[in-house]
Amino acid sequence: MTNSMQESKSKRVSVWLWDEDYPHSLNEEELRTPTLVLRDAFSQFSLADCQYLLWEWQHCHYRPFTFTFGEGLVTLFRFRKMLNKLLDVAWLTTRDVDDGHLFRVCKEKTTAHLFDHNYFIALKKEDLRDLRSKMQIMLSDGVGLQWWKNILYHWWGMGVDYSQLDDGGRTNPTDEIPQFMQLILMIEIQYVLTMSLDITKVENRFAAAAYLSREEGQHPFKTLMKIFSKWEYDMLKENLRKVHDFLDDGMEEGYLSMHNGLIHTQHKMIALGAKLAREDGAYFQRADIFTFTYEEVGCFWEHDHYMPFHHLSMSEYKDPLITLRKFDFAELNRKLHAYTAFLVERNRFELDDELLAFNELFQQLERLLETLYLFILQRLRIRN
Amino acid sequence: MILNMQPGLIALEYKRDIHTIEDLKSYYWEFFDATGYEHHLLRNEKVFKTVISNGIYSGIYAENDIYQLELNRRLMDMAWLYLECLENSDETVEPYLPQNPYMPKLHYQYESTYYYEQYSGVVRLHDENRPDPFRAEKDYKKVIARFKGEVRWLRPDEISHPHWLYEQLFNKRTYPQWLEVLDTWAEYTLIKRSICEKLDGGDVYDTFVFFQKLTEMAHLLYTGRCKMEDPD
Repeated sequence: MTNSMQESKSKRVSVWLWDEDYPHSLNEEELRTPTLVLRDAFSQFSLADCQYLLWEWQHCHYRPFTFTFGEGLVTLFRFRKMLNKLLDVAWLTTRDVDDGHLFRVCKEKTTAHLFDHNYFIALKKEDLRDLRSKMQIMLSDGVGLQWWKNILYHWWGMGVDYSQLDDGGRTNPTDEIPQFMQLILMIEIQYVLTMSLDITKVENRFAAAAYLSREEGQHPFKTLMKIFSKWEYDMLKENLRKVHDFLDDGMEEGYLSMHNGLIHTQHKMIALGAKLAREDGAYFQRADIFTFTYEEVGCFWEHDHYMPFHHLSMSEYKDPLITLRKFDFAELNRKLHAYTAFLVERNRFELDDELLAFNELFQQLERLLETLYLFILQRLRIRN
Repeated sequence: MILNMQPGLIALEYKRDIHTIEDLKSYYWEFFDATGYEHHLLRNEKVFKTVISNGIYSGIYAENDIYQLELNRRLMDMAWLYLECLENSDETVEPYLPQNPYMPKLHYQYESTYYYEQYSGVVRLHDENRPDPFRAEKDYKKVIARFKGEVRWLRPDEISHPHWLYEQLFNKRTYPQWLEVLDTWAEYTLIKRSICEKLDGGDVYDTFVFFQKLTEMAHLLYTGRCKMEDPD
């Protein structure tokens, strides 16, 4: 009673959330101990889950009701809620001196091993030396905490609300790729922080890897075959060329789904390749994985198809599996992210080295495409 | 520092300088520009039905219910700003005293030595303050008669003292706690399960009544009929 009387006596203060930063997603308990949020967040979502959900969300948020992972929209709703909380915690930890201990616990030596078992999209090993400033830069990159929350609010509205759909004149989703990278960076930093608090990591619930859903990860060969039967080899090469041509043409506004869709598929193919390359010999002996009925196969190969293989030597041509194992898939994914980020920062001065590096990326991607195609052709068995 | 303050977390889009209650008019106008009065009341019922039952009634327009909750959030913002204005003004206002209308007012003449109460000298006080069991019904009839069915949920004393309603709102929960409740509601507009697995059903109903009362109050304030003298 006395408590409530005191409360009613204290003067009312208004925080205008569109203009001022305030960690309004946290309740009182979480404000006192932000580590509660970290614990809770990473016991619900593994790192790969976070990466996958955010990546899918960013690339699909203009296509409502395509959220097929988890329980659909509810999963996304919860994920967004969790992200809001993580943003608040990031803001608190970089701001309050009291919570600096979180960063003190997290030493470079004790957390470096995380890099052996996890794939990080944005965080680099060098960053471990000063996570705090990295986080500060990330938060101040926008106009502050509220700016980031507004982005999530906007993405949510774009993905869910039918009335928000537009033809691309109003928004350009490709502009949001750098924001996606920054959010991923924040999640990864907080994951490292959480793991240094002696919290055991949980299993993936939604993702097989950062770019694959659980279902896709369970049947990588089938998924790959679906991709090739949807577009066919020629078409995929053509698509890859289109992605490369963004360098000259830029990302035109007005084609909402095209740009992100093309890049989205490239990431998926790299991830599927990585998944297959990691499997051992026994996996490739299993006939059930590679045998399909004629109807399942779809049409991705015709006898009169012209199939140029520019990048493969004779030995590579003969054994695509060995070729597949030689790729550095994680690096390919990261480079592709860097490429998309480069495309939307058009005002930046272009260095020749960068352009050359991108050419190398595309050579690798084309090589991968050829390898995967050959791999499917060689392994696929049709059941009569 | 953050833990010591009791903030009102205002999510209204345009920050304006608010000094008097009159300044809030534009926000009320914007609210009824975004939604119609009756439409909003009916939609609230639909949201309530959605969260408390096992079904989803918004069909494919999942966002509609969440938008509806955001509109209700606006009403809370306005309630907070209304109270803040009152607090900053020099006007003296009648303070709201939380009372329990169900508490029986009994007068014990002396300590009873009997086990059964009917043999003790307990007297119910026949005074004006004694809770009247039919008061709610009378209030309802009075309000209905006065506003011709336009207002249904507000009580006459709340109509004459708008800040009483608003104070009840923030006595029940602090602002961050309300946000949590709204979040839970939003989550259950997407799930085919009842919100009662997480919140108490009665509490959910109370929240719904608050939504309706806030809407009615906003309407009365907007049309300037709130402090109208009782015609009786």
